[in-house]
Amino acid sequence: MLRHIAGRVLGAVPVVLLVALGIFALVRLAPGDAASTLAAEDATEADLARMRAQWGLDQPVLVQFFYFLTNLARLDFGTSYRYHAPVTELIGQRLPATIELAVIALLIAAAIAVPLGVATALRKGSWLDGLGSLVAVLGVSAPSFWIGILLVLFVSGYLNLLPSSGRIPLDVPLREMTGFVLIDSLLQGQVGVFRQGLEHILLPATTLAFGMIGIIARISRSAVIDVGQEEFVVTAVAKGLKRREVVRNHLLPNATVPIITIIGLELGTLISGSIVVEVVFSWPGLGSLLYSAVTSRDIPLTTGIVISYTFIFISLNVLVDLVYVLIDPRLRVGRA
Amino acid sequence: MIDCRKPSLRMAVIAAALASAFSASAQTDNDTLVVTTTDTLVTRHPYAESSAQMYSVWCQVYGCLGRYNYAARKFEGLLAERWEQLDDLTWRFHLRRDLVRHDGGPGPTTADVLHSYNQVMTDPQSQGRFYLSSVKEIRRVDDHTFDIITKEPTSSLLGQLFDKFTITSEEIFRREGGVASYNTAPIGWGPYKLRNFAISERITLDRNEAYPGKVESSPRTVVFRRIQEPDQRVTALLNGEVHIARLIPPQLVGRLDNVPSVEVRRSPSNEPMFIGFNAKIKPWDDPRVRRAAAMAINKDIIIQRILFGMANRLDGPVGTEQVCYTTPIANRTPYDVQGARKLLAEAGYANGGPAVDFYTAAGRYISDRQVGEAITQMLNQAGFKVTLHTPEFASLWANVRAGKAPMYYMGRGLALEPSEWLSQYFETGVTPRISYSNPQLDALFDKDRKTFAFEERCKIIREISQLIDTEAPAIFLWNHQYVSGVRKGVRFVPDASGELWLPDVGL
Repeated sequence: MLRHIAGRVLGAVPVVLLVALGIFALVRLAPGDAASTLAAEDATEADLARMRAQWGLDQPVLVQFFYFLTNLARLDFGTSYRYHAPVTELIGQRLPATIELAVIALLIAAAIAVPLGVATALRKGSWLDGLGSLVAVLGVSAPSFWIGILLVLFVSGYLNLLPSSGRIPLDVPLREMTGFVLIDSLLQGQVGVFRQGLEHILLPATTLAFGMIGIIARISRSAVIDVGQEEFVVTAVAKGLKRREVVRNHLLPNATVPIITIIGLELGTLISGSIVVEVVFSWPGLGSLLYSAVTSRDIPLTTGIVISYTFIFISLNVLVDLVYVLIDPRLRVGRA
Repeated sequence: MIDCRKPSLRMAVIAAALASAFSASAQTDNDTLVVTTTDTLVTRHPYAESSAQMYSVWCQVYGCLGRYNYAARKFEGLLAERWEQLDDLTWRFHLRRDLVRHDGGPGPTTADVLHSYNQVMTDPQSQGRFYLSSVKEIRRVDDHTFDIITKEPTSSLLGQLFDKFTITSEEIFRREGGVASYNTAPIGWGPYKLRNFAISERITLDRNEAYPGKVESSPRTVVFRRIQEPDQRVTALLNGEVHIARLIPPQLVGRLDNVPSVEVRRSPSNEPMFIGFNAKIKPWDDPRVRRAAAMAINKDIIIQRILFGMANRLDGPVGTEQVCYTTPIANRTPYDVQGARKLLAEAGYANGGPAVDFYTAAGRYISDRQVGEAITQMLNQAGFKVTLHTPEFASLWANVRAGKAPMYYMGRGLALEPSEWLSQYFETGVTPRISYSNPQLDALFDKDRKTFAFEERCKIIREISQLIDTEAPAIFLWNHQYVSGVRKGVRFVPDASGELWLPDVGL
């Protein structure tokens, strides 16, 4: 097992390097530069030149890339041009909000999509199957900013049920322990804050989940249909087992591997794909930080966040591999 | 008794329970004023961000020398009690002696002003050097008096310094570990104290109860809450999550009509919107072509149809809210498509053309893309062959700054002092944004800087405005209106700065 993890981690090194090279090239190829974007409107050309020199942007590109790689090796992404703070510190402050949002979105998506996928598989060709397909297509094709604004207008504006944006209520006395509002509030016994935190996260998480529901439902449906055609299921039915028992004891346990895979991979997609939703809901996470970094040509912050996303994605892949081994005895036997 | 076994009733009961459980949290308490902001709120460092929002906040927390009062149309002292001009290069300022620092420490002194000047000019993170660029040195006279010596006569010095030049405590800076003190001890002399600064989320201020002349009706606590999306700002206002929703775009004002608990309040801004031509790039080196473009654009129809009437037409570069505005200039460029065609023919384009590239950002200014499309159509009707480009703002702005954009639609924020920003664009060699050069105009700018009598100076600015309108190195279109949705019962009169002077606001 350890050897397997070590292999995956080592395999990730070239991926990170490639991503680093790609993002370094992309941010430098983008038109516009940080100094002209961030300097005051009245700033003089001398001010701009001073800013470029301060950030090392007046150095040859190869020199800049050398410094970039050596800093990356030390996991030092430098200091943000815009926020005037170390990039790692900024990422550390914002990551919990994004993870919290992604996890809640995934829970919502899984809670709706897995039962929907199983139900549509068991009633293949029925009206329910048609409805499931419709939901899947809608979820995948509707842009998240549109869904988000509709939810705000209806749930927040018309029904006045939930706050329209933000993460926590104004100035709640919540001491930061883990950075996760829902966890911190529970650890500190502040049920009211927990409830308010939940209210704030529901709309953005539902928006984010919307796109995932279709994908997870379709994968779940396919997995259940595939397993249903296996001989051991046919045998179980032939032996006269009740339908519920066949589903619970034979179909579902064997369909979990692809479902877990897609859920694991989708968590990575949710974390890295929450940019639009975070901007729409003024959610103070990594996505809105990346948006701000890109629009202001903040090179250290942009590269830092993209590389962090890469680390997260790779880590989740490794985690999914480990979960396979835990849930599928055949894989354990195979390794032995 | 309600029979909850019926599905419809059960749903209704659940919905009512949810509504009562959740909606209470959207409300705010009575002493707290919540105001939206679209500013990024990036840093607690008072000199490291140049934005109207942050200048205003730091001026009200730390304190600044003075501010421009739009209602009274004059500069007022805040930390400075009074000032006078000793000669063309020397301004003497006297600091107030009745102020107490938020922590009970002494009021502002000359040492604090010198320290702040030093910070703006030497701190690597400082974004404020531009507003002190005409200052040669600040000289101590005594603990509460200092002289500002300018490099050359600068009649607009107050407009450059006031509202922006934040004064911070030298003692706190030294005691609390330098720049770190901005995080750990944001203590000043202003009418409000900083309670909390959550980067990219909100700023919370508490009223300074020890501030002389404190207004009892001003809010005890003020929260600037960042909401970027306009739809959400409106929703948050209607929900009762915020009291003042700023920067409501014209197309969303309708959502606030006929809502009894909300009022729409407008103010002209001092951000002139204009089309700039780079005179180094053909055909914009020809004043007849520039003037033809100016005559081809029907500003009124764009204001009515695209901006829903929520902009004030500009005739010349100086708007109603800027220093020295009195009346429109005498000889305004008329809207005259036939006249534009005639001018183009004179310039050698009788058979069509010239072909020009027109740049506007999409999403930076109100309805900017639609405005760009309308202007393109109008210019094409006059005979131009316009290709419209809508790059991302950062890319467009870098090109404008470098003098590479031939024709662009742009706004100029914080344009209180017209001579400052007009010099930046139209005086020879100051910036390459327009690349226009006119010795007559340069002489007027020079004369303006050396003229300290207000009325006399305003006459010169009128001459400058007239010359720019005639020569058309840029076409001045309109000032957008700042539209705010305000909950009933909130005393707030918006002004052209777009910001709030909190002692003037009441709950």
